[in-house]
Amino acid sequence: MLDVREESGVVILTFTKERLDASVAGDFKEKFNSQMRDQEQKYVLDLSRVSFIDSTGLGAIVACLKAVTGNGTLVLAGVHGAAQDLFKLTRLNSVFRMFDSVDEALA
Amino acid sequence: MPERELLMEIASRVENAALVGLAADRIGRFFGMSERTANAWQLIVVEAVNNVIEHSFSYETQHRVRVRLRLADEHMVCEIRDRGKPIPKQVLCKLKSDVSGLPAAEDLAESGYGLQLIATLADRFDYQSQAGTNTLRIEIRIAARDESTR
Repeated sequence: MLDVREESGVVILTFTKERLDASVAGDFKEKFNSQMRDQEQKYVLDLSRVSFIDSTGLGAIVACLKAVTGNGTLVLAGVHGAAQDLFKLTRLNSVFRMFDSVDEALA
Repeated sequence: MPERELLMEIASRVENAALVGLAADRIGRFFGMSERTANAWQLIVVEAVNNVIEHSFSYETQHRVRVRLRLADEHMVCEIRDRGKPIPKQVLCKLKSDVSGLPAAEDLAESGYGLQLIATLADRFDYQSQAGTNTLRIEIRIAARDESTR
C-alpha cells in the first residue's frame, strides 16, 4: 500500500493503490505513522497513482499532516483528477503544499 | 419496474462501497455524464453507502444494504435502503446545500465531510425513515455542471 524510499534526505511515500477510501484509510494512517522519524524531516506523499479519494481517505491525509506538523513538513505530489477536485471543493488545497510530481516536490 | 434501473444488494462493509461507486460511475458515463460529473457522482454514492454503514449499522458487517440506480429524465437517481438505526435528525439538520457546510480548511478536520459532500454535490438529497426502513435518495443531473462550483 505504501512504498517508502529516501532521496536527497527526503522521505518519499508512494501510495500504491488506486483508491484511498474508507476500506484502507486506517491502514494507510498506521503505515504512514510507522515511517515517521524522531528528528525534523521532510516527507513527500506521492498520490500520483490514486484516482479516487473519499472523505475518510481525505481525513487520513489530514491526520498525516497533523502528525508531521511540529516535527517536519509534509507535501503532496501528483494529486490529479477526482482527487484534485476533492481537495479544491474542501479547500484543503489551501493548507497543503501540492506539487505536480515528486520531482517538482524535491526541486 | 422502470425500464432502466439496476438493483444491487451488498453486505454492510465499507469495502463494498467501491463496488457500488464504480457501478454508479460507469452507468453515469454510459448515460452521458462528463468525466468530472461521473467522478462527483461516484463520490456521492460512495459517501452515501459509507454513511449508511456508519450510522445505521455502526460498522457491523453482517447487515444488508440495497442500492437502486436508475435513470429519470435528465438525472441519475440512487436510492439506498437499510433497516438499521436512522441517521440522527440533528446530523441531517446541520447540512447545507453548498460548500459553506464543509469544515473550514484551516481547522484541519479529519472527519465531518461525508454527508456534507453529498448535500453539496447532489442536486437533490432526501432521507426518510419509515416503518423500520431508512431510504437515502440522491439525484444528480447528467448534463455537465457549472465548473466554477468545483
